[in-house]
Amino acid sequence: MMKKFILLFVTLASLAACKKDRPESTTVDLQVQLSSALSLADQQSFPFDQVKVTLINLRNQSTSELTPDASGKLTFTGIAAGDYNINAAVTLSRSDYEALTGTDPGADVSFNASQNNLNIPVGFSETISLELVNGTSGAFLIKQVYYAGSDTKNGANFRDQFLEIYNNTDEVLYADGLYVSRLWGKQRPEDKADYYQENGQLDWSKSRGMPSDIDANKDYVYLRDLFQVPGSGNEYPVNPGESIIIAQNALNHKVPFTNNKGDEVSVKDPDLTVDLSDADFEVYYGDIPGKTPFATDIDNPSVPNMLPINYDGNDWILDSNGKDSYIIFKAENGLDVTTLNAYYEPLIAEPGPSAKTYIQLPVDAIMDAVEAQPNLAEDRIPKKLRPDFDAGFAFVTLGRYSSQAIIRKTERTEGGRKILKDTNNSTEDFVVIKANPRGFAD
Amino acid sequence: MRAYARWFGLLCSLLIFHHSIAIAQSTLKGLVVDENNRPLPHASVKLKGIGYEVRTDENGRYQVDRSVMGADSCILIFSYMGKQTVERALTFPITTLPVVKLQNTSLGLDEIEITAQSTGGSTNSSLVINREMLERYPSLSLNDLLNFLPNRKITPPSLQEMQNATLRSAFERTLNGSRHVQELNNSFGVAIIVDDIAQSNNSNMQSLNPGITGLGAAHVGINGSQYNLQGNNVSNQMKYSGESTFGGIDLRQIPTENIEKIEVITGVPSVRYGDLTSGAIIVERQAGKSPAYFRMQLRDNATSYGFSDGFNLGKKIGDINYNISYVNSFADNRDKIKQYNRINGSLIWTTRFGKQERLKHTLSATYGRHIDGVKRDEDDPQSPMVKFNNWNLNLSSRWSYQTNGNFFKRFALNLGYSTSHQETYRETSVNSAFVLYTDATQTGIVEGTYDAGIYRAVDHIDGRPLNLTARLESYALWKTGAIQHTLNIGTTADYSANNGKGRLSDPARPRQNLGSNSERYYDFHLAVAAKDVGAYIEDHFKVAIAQRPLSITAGARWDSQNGYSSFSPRTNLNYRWNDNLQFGLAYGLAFKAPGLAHRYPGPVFTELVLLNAYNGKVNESTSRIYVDRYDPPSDHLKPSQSQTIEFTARWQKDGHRLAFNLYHRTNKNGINSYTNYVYPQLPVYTAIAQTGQKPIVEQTGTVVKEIQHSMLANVLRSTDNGFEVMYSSPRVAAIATSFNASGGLYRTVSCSNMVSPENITNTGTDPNDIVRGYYLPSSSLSYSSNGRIGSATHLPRLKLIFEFTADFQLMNYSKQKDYSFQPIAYMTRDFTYYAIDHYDASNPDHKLLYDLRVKDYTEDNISRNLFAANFHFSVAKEINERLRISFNVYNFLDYQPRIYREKLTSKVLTPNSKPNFGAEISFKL
Repeated sequence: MMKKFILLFVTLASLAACKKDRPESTTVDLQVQLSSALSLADQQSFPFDQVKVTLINLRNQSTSELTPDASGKLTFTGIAAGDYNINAAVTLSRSDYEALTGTDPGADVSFNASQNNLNIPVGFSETISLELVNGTSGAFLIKQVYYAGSDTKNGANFRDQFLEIYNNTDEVLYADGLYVSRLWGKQRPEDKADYYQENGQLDWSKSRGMPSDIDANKDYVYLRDLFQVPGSGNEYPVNPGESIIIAQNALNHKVPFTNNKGDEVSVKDPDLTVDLSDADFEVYYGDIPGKTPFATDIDNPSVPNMLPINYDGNDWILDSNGKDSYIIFKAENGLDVTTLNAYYEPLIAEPGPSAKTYIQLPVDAIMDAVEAQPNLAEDRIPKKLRPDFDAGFAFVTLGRYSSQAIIRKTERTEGGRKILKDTNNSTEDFVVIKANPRGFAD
Repeated sequence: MRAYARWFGLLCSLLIFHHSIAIAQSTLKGLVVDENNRPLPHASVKLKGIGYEVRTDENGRYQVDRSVMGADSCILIFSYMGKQTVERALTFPITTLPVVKLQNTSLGLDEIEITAQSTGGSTNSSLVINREMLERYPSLSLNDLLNFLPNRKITPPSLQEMQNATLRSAFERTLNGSRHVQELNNSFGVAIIVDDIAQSNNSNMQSLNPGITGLGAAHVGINGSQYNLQGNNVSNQMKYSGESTFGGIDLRQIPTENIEKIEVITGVPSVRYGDLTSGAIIVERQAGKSPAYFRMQLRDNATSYGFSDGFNLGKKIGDINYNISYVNSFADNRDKIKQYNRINGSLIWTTRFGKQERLKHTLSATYGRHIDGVKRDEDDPQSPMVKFNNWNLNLSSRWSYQTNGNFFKRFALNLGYSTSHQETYRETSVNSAFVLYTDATQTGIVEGTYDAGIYRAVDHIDGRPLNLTARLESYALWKTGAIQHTLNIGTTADYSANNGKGRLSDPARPRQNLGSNSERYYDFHLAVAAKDVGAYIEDHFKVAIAQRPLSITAGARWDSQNGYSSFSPRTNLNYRWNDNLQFGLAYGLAFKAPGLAHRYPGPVFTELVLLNAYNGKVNESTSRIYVDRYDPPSDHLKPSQSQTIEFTARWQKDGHRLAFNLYHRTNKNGINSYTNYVYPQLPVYTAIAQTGQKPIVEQTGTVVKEIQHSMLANVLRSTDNGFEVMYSSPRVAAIATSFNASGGLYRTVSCSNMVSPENITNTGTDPNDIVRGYYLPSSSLSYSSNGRIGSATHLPRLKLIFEFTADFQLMNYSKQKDYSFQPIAYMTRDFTYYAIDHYDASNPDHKLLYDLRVKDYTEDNISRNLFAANFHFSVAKEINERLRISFNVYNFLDYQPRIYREKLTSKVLTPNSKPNFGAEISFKL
């Protein structure tokens, strides 16, 4: 009997021994050093103490925010080891910026820095350096991107997609000659056909024919398509606080058909879609040489067409999952899009003769940019834009065909003119609304 | 029992008495008895070769004119419904015909047929499947019985996919639900002959316009993802269509309940059979008195019921045999939206006239109704629905007159009439902003009409095929020297028309993805009825070479099909080397007339939208559309042709049987779509908006556009080579088991006469960019090799049989052969055509086109072999004389290997589907 007890005890004890010890939670003190490349006037120093530095734990999405000291140094103490995104951002008012640099920027200026997917192991002791760079400012902003489209059966499918571009300044701007483009990069997380950078994005420096004396990844973006607003320079004025809408099809998508007698035929649920009959421009493929347009690609005679410079597919259809990044730019400082080089994507295999080449655009030309992403985390793709153009990303929460658009937050209203938030971090700057052309986030 | 034996003895002595008279009357007499040695009345005794038939009288006696039996030898076939058929070879001189015992088919017999018979058919390589085997395997359609053929992958009985028979050819796997054009041509060339009347698919016109879709995709279909339950990833690659136009007869329409015998001719058929290229499947149904038979089958996805009965209503009225059957099946019992439902009835009425029953008339009527399609999903009101409903009625009147004339021995007249009503109806929801269409039917520039873009698009095809067929033939015996000839001379006529309403397309409600084409109403009455006639003569005789018989069947056939004359000699030679071994050699040409759907695909309308100034309001919108009408010609289509040469060997000894076939077949004039291009110069318009009024339209220039003109033409060629082996062992007594194995290899090289164009996806705008390269036609090589080994454990005492089969897909792959990388021409974006006389590798344009083709080749090359095994099991048991149960399981080990292919769109191949169970109870009344 006793023997049995001992046996039982030994068995239990050995079972207990098998139980794993819970690892001790190991914390790290993470040191961050900010810097700025801004050339400052004499006696001025960058106001690091205004910068907000955000640390996001990628596992549980918890964030902590700190402000550095005047030298730009700060420490996140006692954080758990793991993967993090770290962002730093500050917006200097137009007057502060002028005082700092001696030049009038024309609008408030934002500075950003970020590092994504930082692995902070146990015992990490290095200092993370973040260089604040000023993004683009002023002029036109991408205000609203409606890439998701509306319900395929009850709405207007992807026909009602549009892009809204906003004059965020206090002066009249001209849209004439403005370029609108989507960027190309790794489009699916599972793609394996190319050479990739450490951040997962295409390594364009390995593209065929790419010069070796340039930083092909950092200093350039690559265009999936390119359209230009028509006009000779002053045909399409945009007042402060107003916007232009570039529609895939300039139609009232709620009521896409009105017959001779005036009887209207609406989509099954008109609330799901939008009225784009007063869009400023539309994209039409019918004039492209060698292209037979689909009967569904309309040319509304009262809405001017965007000029196609480079196109993709059979119609201007934005990726309804949100895998495109959008940029606008103007031909300034001697930029001539016709002289830009185009390269194959950095395929491992030899690109076939029908492989597309992508126009290489210097990042300096970018006026504004926004990075969209799929709503599901597992579908997300590496960022195509550098942090100084968009430190974050935006997405519609309900995914494709949800009637949702991403739109810039309104920062403040000045004399009836809404000034939109532009910190070059779309995570901060954008919110999700039901698509609303010329509408605002609040 | 003893009383019977005594009676039998008495009969035998009677027979001997009769026999002396027989010589005097130049008739020979015999007797047929049943398993209890009782005389068997109304048994059929048929003379092989000429079809001369007599029946036993009430006392089981039969008599045959000596003059019809030939000089030296003949073969008599004794049969009776429900009993094992017996063949007897007679060599003259004899004074009496044999006493033959016909036993009830039963698992209690010592000898039963385990495998399909490779001897005894009408040609060297015929394969015969008889009633005994049919009753043992639960089947739903004729297609399931083709599982008995060698070199064929065993498929589970199902009615959920289109079933076309293809014979002796290998095909590349197709993607995206389109059909392989060579496969369509092969199955179109398989003649299905039921009770000596060919079942024609020639007037079937249920299809989309092949001028728009191409021949391989010219059928209304529905994607697997639209009726399968979600998550079934593999099935999403499938596409279902219930249309069998351009291919063979839909075998699902042929129920198996009342089939008596099937003969599959893959080699060189007799010249009696015309209008075929790939072979023939000859089905004989039960006629005459037969036991009432009820059978019920339950499968995982189908239930089937069948009842048949045959009885004699006295001499005046004759014999009636009727059959009714019903099957209801679903693709997935969990979500019953895809259904195939068949109800079938047939009546065969045989009457014999005259005292000696010299004149025989058989009237058959068969009616089948098929409910086939995918219902609208109640949970999703906008889901598509499709139906392929049809009924068909076949009537035939067959007359046979037997004479004991000096030359002619038998005359036969077959008249067949078949009609059916086929309806294809597909509805899909369309949600577009608007529809821009025109109903113009002539070439020119028109203003289009705008209409609402939210609707249900309908494809509606209404067909009423009508086929009339007639055959008049005679059999004669004739002697040259010592050689006895059996001569068959006949003539055939076929008439095919379609009186359906046609393709009822509404241009205002177009289906999507039509590209720049549009559909118009096309009335099938516009198709001119096809009238094809033929005549044939065939001689069968035997000569002795080295004291061994060489049997020769030689014939020739003349046909006029679509206005083209053809001449097809065919011969089957069979030499008996010794008692165990015989060799065969066969050669023949065969021609298959193009069907009505090939001849009259209908005009093709192309619409190019030159201006689409639309703002949502019809009053303020306008358009300009260039309409191009192309009427493809029809009189250039020749019959497709095949030429076969075949060597066969049959060996048997001590119960071992081995059959070997080696063949070579060349096919030409197969039909596929052929595209020409035209380049009209068209105006360029611009519109200036006006509020409340239509825009002002101004022409600002001209532009050249490309339009495709697609027609059907005899452009396909192929060569099939291969062999088939079948072996069956005697029963190993100790384990009561016999073994069998069969297999083969088919190798097909298929190609086309068309120059092969290759488009370059180029998103630029430069008019000098190359947009299309032209290459010499490539040819592809496909292999199909399957083998199986099986065992059959038969326990006669228990009336039980177990069968295991291991089925192997040994070699199944395709690759491009003679692929041409060097371009012969190219076209630039401005539609300028540049011929390349000499390929120059240093020319960047040439190099670009070359690279395109190389890349294409490496990507499309799906030459990885598919090897897979599958295991099946079946059991049949007779409870008593009346009740039998059988059970079969396809893939009983639930072995479902997955084969991954990186470069294919459908990356996962699953050669074996899930286990499929079927149980059948049959009851003989």
